[in-house]
Amino acid sequence: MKLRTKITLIAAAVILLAAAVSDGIIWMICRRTLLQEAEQNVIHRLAVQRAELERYTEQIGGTVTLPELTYYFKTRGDDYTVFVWNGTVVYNQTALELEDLRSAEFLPYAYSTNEIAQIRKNGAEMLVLKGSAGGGVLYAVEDLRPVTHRLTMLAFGMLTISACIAVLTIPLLYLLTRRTLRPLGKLSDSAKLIAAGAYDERAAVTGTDEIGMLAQDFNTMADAVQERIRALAESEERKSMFMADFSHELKTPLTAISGYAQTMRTVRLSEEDQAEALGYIYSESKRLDRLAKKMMRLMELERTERLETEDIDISALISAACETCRPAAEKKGITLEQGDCTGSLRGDFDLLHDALCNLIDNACKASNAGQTVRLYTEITRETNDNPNITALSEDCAIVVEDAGCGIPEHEIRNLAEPFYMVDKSRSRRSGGAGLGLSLVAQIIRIHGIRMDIESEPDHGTRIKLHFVYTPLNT
Amino acid sequence: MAKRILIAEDDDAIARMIAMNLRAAGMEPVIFPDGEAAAQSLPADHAYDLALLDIMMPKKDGFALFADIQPYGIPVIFLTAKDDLESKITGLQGGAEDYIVKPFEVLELLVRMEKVMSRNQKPADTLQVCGLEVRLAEHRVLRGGQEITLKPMEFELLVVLAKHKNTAISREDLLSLVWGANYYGETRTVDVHIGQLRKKLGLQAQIVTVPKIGYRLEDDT
Repeated sequence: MKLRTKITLIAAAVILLAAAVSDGIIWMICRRTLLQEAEQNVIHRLAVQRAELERYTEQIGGTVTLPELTYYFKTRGDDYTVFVWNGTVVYNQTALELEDLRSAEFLPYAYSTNEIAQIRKNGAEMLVLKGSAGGGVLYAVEDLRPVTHRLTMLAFGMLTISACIAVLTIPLLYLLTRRTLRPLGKLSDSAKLIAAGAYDERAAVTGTDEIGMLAQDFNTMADAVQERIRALAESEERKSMFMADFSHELKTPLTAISGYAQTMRTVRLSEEDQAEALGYIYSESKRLDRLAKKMMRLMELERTERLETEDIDISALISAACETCRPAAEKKGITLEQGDCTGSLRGDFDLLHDALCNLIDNACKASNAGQTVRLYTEITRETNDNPNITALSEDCAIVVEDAGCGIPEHEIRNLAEPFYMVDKSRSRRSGGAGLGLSLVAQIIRIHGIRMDIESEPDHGTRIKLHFVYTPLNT
Repeated sequence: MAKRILIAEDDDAIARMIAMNLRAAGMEPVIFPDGEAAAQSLPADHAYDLALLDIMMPKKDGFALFADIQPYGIPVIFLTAKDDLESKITGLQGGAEDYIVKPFEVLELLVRMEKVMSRNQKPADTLQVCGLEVRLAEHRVLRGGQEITLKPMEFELLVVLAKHKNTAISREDLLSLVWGANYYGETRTVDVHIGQLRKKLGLQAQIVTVPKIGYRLEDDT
């Protein structure tokens, strides 16, 4: 059953019950009032008749006889009075018989000698007040039929009014409930849409009531779900990108190796061609080997959280990296220049050496013959009020600077993605697989070093490795 | 006349490997290291029978280069490591003749190239190999104007060997190329027919048995 139907039915039941109860109470009050009125009537009549009768008795002289009484009632009697004298009915114009009066159960009435009874005869209700007067018994009778009739009419009227109210209120109630609950429907629609995959759907429900609050909570939940889904999709995409790139990096040398091997097996080649084919098979397998090693290294570094650290003299570190890279750089006609280097840092010498070599390698690839790649340290003194930690809070950076082709700004944040290359063609001419900077990123991550890349297309790139400066203990 | 093939491939090793095979098959390969170089050379020289295009190339990718090549009516085969369905559909819907995924078998590449070229131009009527004149349409083989009678399958075998001269073809490949992919014959069948060809054509020296692989028709002319 729908909530609005339920609420309507419950409310309708409550309204009807309240109407019935109030109808009943009102009816009871009216009935009592009417009966009291009837009682007042009989009391009044009895009192009047008694007084008249007593005055008559006094006029006559104290003692009355039956004929006198008969005469009296003939002239003074009314339709509501019965007078019984010495066991005989002197006067009776009512529908009641003496037998009825005798058999009726009279109860004492309110602080008087009078007695009262209700007598039912031929479907008519009579209220009878009994009192002694003039040596006999005087009955004042009130027919209750008008009272009953009025009460019936009243009950009927009230029930009609209640029914009208119910007929009018229930549809109104239904409409109002529906209106109040409409936001719930909207909320439900939004939930269905979200469940069907429209994660950017939000409930357009406003207001500060419970439903409005529910909608707000719902939207907060939807935000969280959307964010989570987006993150999942992103990581999934990154994974599949990684797999696609990895398979591309594998397939290119594999194609060459298997192609040359097939050629040598099947084609009659000249000496030079054979030598060339063998050369390529060798160099391409070397390339696969390098790729495998770098991948292993990257996976190893991804798992590494802590490392063996030692104090490293930055000047020595940079010199060592320059020495390693100089032959390759000079082959390309690029000069490696070591600028001012100072300070020390804690870390793994081999890993940092590797990271620097990768950065130098990248710088050389970006440079043209005749250009220079410079390495130096840069200290930016930060204002700090505490003199004791001044030395430590100095921000120090190792800078690898080239004047080469530069990196477009929107590419910079993707640089550390595995296999990412600015040149979409992934040209093998520069000889990389796009893993270098990923390695660097992993190495500096476990060292807690921050890397900044500043670059301007056609003017060169400056890569800064920021770390906490410690003066070298000599 | 030797067939001229345009190769646009940024990976040196692969480009030269393909070129080596094409030269051995008597074709004339021209290598471009990127899409732009290939596109720039086209207005001056576009007498190619076929173009092999890598998709991921520097400066101009294969799809873009394809648009430049189309006006010259050169049939194109894409040669790429991208083996997702989307790239294949893009390549083939654009009007490329074929799409070969790296790593590929060299023989497969040659056969597909041959199919594409025969679709796109009138096939050569006559093959000249080892002093023989193979008339394809007439199913006749002549040496110095003198006809040599061959059985139909022997003739087909000779045609396959002649088309891939200087390249060894395995018995299995010969079976499927000559007798068809659905022929479940024994490789002995190939040996028997090769023997017949050697005897009838006097090619004992030219049809070489390559150990563990198959046969190669050698022609130095």
